[in-house]
Amino acid sequence: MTENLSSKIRMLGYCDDWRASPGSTLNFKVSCDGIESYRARIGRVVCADLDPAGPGFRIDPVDDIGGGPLRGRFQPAYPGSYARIEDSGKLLGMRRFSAAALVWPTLPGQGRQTILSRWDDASECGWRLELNDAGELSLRVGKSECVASGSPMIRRQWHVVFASIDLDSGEFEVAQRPLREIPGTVEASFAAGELDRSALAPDMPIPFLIAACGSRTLAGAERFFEGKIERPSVFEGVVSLEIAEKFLLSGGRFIDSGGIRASWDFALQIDSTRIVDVSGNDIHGRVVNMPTRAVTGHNWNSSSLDWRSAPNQYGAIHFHADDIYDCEWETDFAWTVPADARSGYYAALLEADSGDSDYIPFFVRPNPGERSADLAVIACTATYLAYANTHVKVDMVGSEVMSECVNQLSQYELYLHEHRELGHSTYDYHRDGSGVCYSSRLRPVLTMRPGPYTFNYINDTHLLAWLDHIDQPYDVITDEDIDSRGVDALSGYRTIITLSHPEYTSTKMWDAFDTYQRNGGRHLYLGGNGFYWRVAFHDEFPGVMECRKGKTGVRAWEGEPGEGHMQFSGEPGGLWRTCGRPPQSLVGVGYSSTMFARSTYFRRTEASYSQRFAFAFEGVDPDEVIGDFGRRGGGAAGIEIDRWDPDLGSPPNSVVLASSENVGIDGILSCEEYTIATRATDGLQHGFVRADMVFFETPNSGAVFSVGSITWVTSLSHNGFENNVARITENVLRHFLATRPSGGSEG
Amino acid sequence: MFRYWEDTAIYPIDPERLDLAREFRSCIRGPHSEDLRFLLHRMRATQIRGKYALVIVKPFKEWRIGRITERNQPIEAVDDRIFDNLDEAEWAVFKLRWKDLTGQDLNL
Repeated sequence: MTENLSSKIRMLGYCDDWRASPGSTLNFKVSCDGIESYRARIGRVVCADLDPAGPGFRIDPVDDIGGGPLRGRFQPAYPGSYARIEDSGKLLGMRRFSAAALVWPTLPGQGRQTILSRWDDASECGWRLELNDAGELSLRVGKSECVASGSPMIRRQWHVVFASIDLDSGEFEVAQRPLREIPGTVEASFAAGELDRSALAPDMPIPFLIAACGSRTLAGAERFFEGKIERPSVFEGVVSLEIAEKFLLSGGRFIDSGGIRASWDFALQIDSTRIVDVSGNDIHGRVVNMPTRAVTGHNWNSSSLDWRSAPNQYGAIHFHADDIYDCEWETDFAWTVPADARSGYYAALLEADSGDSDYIPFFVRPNPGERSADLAVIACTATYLAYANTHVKVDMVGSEVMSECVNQLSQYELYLHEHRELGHSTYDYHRDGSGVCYSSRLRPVLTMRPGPYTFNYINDTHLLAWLDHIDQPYDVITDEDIDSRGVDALSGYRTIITLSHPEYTSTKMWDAFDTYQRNGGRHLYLGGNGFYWRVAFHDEFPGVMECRKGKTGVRAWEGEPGEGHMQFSGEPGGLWRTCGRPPQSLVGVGYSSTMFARSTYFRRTEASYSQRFAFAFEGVDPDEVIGDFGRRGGGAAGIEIDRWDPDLGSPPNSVVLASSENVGIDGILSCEEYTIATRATDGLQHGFVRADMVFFETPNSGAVFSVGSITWVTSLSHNGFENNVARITENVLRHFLATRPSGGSEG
Repeated sequence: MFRYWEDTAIYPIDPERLDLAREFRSCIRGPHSEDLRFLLHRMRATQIRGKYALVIVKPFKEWRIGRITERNQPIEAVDDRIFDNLDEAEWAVFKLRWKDLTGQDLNL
């Protein structure tokens, strides 16, 4: 018998906002599986890496959550996106009616999937129009069912679906037709039946749902539809498939019999959760759990790739059974940040007598206008969101090819694989094969926990450990603060540090970094593959980020044609490089290559020996190689590396101080770095496969120092922090923190 | 819609090339010869469902070999061996894949 290696995780939590400030209160939400009580305390994170050869795991105690042990309880998460009609009462009182929609199913034949419903599962009253297990269209009315059998819907093809119910005559009918005729498939199918009148009650005051049917047990909805739905409509009286189809395909303008009770035009208010009824009856609704909007409809003709310029071609919503926005767990305890709390990375630590535990990360940043240090460390929460709960190791065929070793799975990763209800990352596919373009922090984010998933969050704490080692005070500012406050979030700091992989940047963030640098701010970009993807946040949807993947870049999944513009902002998504802002234009270097198997070192360029840059290399022998050590791959140049390129915007005054050497076969050029595939795109053969360390001055005594490598910060702790990576980083930091830098254009 | 197919790795593994197995055994983490890289790529690009993974028993100390299952299903154990050396675990997976892909036991 096969032994299952089930996850042993039995407690998990998150907080209502992972950003806090002195005086603000965070609400923690915890789910326990079989744990009756636990204790909670708050700590300030110095290093979250459990690696015994790393800087050393350390969380400084800050506070205990008092009031005795906390009571454990189970709190479920309910994924599945759908739309709920807020005033479903306006759809009551119809003895004879029809319903229709355009649908583009992505997983027909894989479970019952509701398209439109007014259904009470407990009493089995009401009606629901759905795909049955065979992918055929089915209309259930009370205990009666009518199936358009023998013609399963075709995956990723548009169909019109239709149902009519006549309570006076006792007849009901269902019909579907693919919009494009495909030889060898059924052109259209109909079925009609007599209603069993014993348990009809289709007029019960229960919610009208789109893409799901009502459930009293599962947070209100179940049997989710996988795929796109467009223009769902309810007609007065019994109309025909032909009339309904004409109405839908004419954009809701044509109707020659009966009236329209409701017709939802998803092309309106695309950048919101609202769905708008255009029948004149104002029977509006809202989507739940962030289905994908700003997606192409049945009539998209590729004349525009931007939903803003052709909204009538973007009248569809793509629903998924595994969408989730907010777990909506109840609060189990709260913590008010003391007035004198130091800014930093924090965590709530939960511990049960059984030995079970959890670690809920958050960030304490100063209140606006209350800067406590000259240095700000930018917590790259956009990156943490993008990777939140990634399933790449267990869903992507190429993941082991990338890592070049058998993937290790931690208890958290086992849990995520088994418990898809915690949602996916922007690196993942939905079950139906479409890409995940929203990621929320209103759920446990298990990729931000101590453990073997060291990417981003844990690697970044190596920098915190080093700052602690050199007694350098700092404030923490999050990406989301910069998105909401702009440059005001950064102004006043003499220097900022961006961490190992600040890969995701909204327009407001980019503009804030650029303005900060041009206003005389000094920026140490101590990472690799930074400022790469353009993302967006939305004022109405706190805690969720949108990322559309374009046609190039390290995109994990490729977005559908015509769906590259973001719902939240309307802006084109994809790489900043394809939006006219290569990372080189902000920080002097931009992503070129991966090297996951092994890291390497830097060697100084001739230019670096100029007196102009002497400040950076003080205490480093002129012929030393830099960073031939470190906790990730054994070098300070690795995992993802960036190169200098004036053609891509590296400023004319930027200078390469050092470059990686001996990258060899381990370096692999990224797809956007060549125009025609050839044999010669590895680091042995291609000169673009390199990391460059770059310095340049910006106006008003500002400056930028970039290392272009993820593994720079994970080399800091080598030899008890006594090494040339730490030396150079400290040299530049001290120089940048000085009131007037002595180097650069002023030197 | 562009999707990466799961069966794109087509390089045939020659069961006579025991020299490549020996090379891997002697240098698990590489760098490797070109022929061994081709072989490893073929092994590592096997389809995701059923792919081997190392389940951490004790962080940094102990691992077991598991197989990746369908979504929502627990990872399945391949056997009851517990490895206290990551390279040994990697080598054990190599041998399992050699058998899977060539039909022959790997006996050096």
